[in-house]
Amino acid sequence: MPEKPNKLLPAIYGGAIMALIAAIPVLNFVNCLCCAGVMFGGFMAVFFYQKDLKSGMPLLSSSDGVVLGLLAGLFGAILGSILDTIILLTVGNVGGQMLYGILESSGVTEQMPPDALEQMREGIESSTFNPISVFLTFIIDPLFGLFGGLIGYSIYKPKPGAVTPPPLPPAPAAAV
Amino acid sequence: MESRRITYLITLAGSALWCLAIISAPLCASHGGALKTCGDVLYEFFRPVCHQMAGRSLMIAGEPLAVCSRCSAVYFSFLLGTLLFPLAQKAWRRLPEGRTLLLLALLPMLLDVFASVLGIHDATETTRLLTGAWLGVLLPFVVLPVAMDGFTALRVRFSRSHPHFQKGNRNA
Repeated sequence: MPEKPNKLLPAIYGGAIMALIAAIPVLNFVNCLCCAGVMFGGFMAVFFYQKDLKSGMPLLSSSDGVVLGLLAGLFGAILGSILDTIILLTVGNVGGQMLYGILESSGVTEQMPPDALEQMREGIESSTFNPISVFLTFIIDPLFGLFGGLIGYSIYKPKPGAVTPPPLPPAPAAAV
Repeated sequence: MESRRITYLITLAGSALWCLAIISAPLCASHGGALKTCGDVLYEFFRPVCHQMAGRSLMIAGEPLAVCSRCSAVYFSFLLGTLLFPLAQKAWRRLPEGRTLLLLALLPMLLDVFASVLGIHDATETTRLLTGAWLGVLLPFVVLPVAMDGFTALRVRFSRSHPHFQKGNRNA
């Protein structure tokens, strides 16, 4: 029976999706809803993995969902931290500036107390690489990635009674 | 102890700790000195998880919870769902599994969010809390069975590939 495909590549794809969602301004607001972007990365890792499962291979199992979700979260934390640092060093806190712009154009900043407004502006301008936030990412991403992997398995799990199909017979040799 | 039970207890303890941290942040921040610092650390911990807008958060001791009201509803009802899981497991087995249950859990929140974004209706504190609580209480019934099966399978695989580790444990 052919072995299951490697989990590393689907997990890297899932991690890359997590990192991109977290890095792209506006899109990263998705993570404000219980880290939905991170969970989506874990879910996508399971999606890519089940796409790789060919006929004759063992079926998708719950342990695959656990491992893929955790791995995707780990890769998401690594890639996300690298991407965040690059963006911060090259173009600065784009997300913060955009958010400030939105608040300013909608008139919210005019209603804010001057102290709070100044504090917010200073926070955006002085944004630098934060090791604590990197450390937190390495806890939160695998945790929510795991949730995404579990949700992914519950969606793509084989139907009850499904059995591993026999491997396809080798193709007949072409007549020369 | 059976590994399915261990997975359940870890999930229960983890979600209880998570909820405790959400409540502790405002309670600590409302005090001075070291407790205030502790509160600030807790707020910082939850910063990547939620927007933490004070206007959309529930208040304790004059300070907002560490996450917004929608997220609070999800996490606290997830804890409630995890507590109910062993009691309600038989009844819930009759309900649809996997994707259908997840869709049922997500639908009210998605409708609330998208209707609010499109300007069809204004999401209120009540709708945020209700839709969040609905998702949170159903979510353990989607993820817990998978987590318990998955970690049990991983443990079996690990003890097969590392028989010495298991033997050493028995001797200890």
